[in-house]
Amino acid sequence: MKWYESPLVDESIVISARVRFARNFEKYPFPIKLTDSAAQEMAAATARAALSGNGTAFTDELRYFDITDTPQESLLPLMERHVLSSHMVAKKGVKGIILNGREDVSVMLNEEDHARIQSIFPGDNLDGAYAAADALDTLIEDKGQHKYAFDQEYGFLTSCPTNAGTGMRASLMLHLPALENTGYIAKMLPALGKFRMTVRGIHGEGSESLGAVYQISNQFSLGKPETEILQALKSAVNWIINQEKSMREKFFTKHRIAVEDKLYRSWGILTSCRTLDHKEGMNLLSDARMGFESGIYTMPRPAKTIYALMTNIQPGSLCAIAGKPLNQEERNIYRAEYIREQLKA
Amino acid sequence: MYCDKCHKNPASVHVERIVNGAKTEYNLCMHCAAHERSDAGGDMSFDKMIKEFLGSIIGSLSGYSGGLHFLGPDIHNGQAVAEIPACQSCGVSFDELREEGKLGCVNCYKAFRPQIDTILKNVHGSSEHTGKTPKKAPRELILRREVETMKRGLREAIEREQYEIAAELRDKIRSAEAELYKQGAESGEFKV
Repeated sequence: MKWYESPLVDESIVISARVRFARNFEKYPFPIKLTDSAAQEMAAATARAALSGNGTAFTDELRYFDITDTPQESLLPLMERHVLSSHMVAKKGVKGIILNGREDVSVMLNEEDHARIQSIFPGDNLDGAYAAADALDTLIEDKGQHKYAFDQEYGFLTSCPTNAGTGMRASLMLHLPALENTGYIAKMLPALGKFRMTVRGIHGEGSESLGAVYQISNQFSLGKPETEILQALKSAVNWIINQEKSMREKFFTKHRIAVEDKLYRSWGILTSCRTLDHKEGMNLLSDARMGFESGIYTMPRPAKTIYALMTNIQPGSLCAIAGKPLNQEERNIYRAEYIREQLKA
Repeated sequence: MYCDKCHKNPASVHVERIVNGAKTEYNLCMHCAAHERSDAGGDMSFDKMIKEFLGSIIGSLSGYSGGLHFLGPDIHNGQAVAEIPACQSCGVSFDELREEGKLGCVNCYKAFRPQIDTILKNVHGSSEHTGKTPKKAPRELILRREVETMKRGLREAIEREQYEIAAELRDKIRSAEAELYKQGAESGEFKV
């Protein structure tokens, strides 16, 4: 089972928690200045260290994949599932990935930094995600041949100084339909800036929000220990969650029938449409997620989580499920068919 | 931001085109971007989808990855950019750092230390790491970090009136400081 197939992704406002560490090895130049042969050597050595934890440190076995020559269409679904960054899909040259079956622990090799160690857990288990990423980070250093690039004053050294220090980016993925519908989310941005936190769309940097899914993450990675950064993120997110809850409550109390009508209409479209584009699909699934979470929907939940459906209807993942490349029109038809099938009573 | 071609729909695809070495950049809506690709004779099916999708996600490449312009002129520390020598290890110049937002190697942190110090303070509000220390760091550094953490814990324990924990921490701090002293580290260097 993948992490996004856990029922926890649909149970509350928080879909998932993610922690990543940016790490480099002292011995090598950073990826923008690294030769292909040195990058191969670095990737293989890092993979050996990480995989040495199989059977002891990690119950779900890690595997290493050299994705240097993997075509972009095969990498796109991994990006849509938050395993790869868009930079990693687009970049040319040596690149590798370490990944377990659940896809909740992974390492991108030779991205902007030598190793981007990541853990993503369903629900609001930020401490769990931190512990898993931290354990893999320690293992890679401990069992690896090379020292991490570390400065007494600046901490872990990264290619972009915005990641230096702890090298940590922690984020919580939230479903915020009420704040989005009222346009309130935009008004919250300056306040979040004061927390030194930032809001992004579903695919991070520069991406738009789809299906009312937002990621909140720390802007700073230096000056505070990891635990305090995590605490600051939790406080900021709790504040947002409370805003979302009170906005929903207002809606449900004042416009109960209108809300029920909208959510049930969305279910109607999802279960009977014949063509569906990505954006509309995400918005309808956003309604379905709220329908189940709020208890307004009385029908049984589908076998797959709503968030898994949100994941699977993205262009690359959809083609992967279909097992062939599809153009936009074909995708829209297949998307409608796929969702109808998944939501069948 | 609206489409640079039709000026009607929101722009979702960032296009960079290089003709005879001259780069032009514009932002298009999905509709105009599709025409743009067919005009350029590209593959209209899967390849286009990937590019469009990635384009909509990456957005403007000169936004985030394109660096550190947002910091303003003060990051030069009064020194003209051209006068700042490039990193001797990897050759990255300060101008490249400003443009790309990326350093080439560990030594860049030494080569551009005054500039980076300002960058770090701007971005993070601090330039002093207080988090995790690698296991392979020198023993002295690890000990110093432990002492700092324990001192924070000691302050918290006293505030919470947990005197047993405080006493335990005080003893541990003493023994760690004694070890540091033995290693030749000057006890006056501790930053609290």
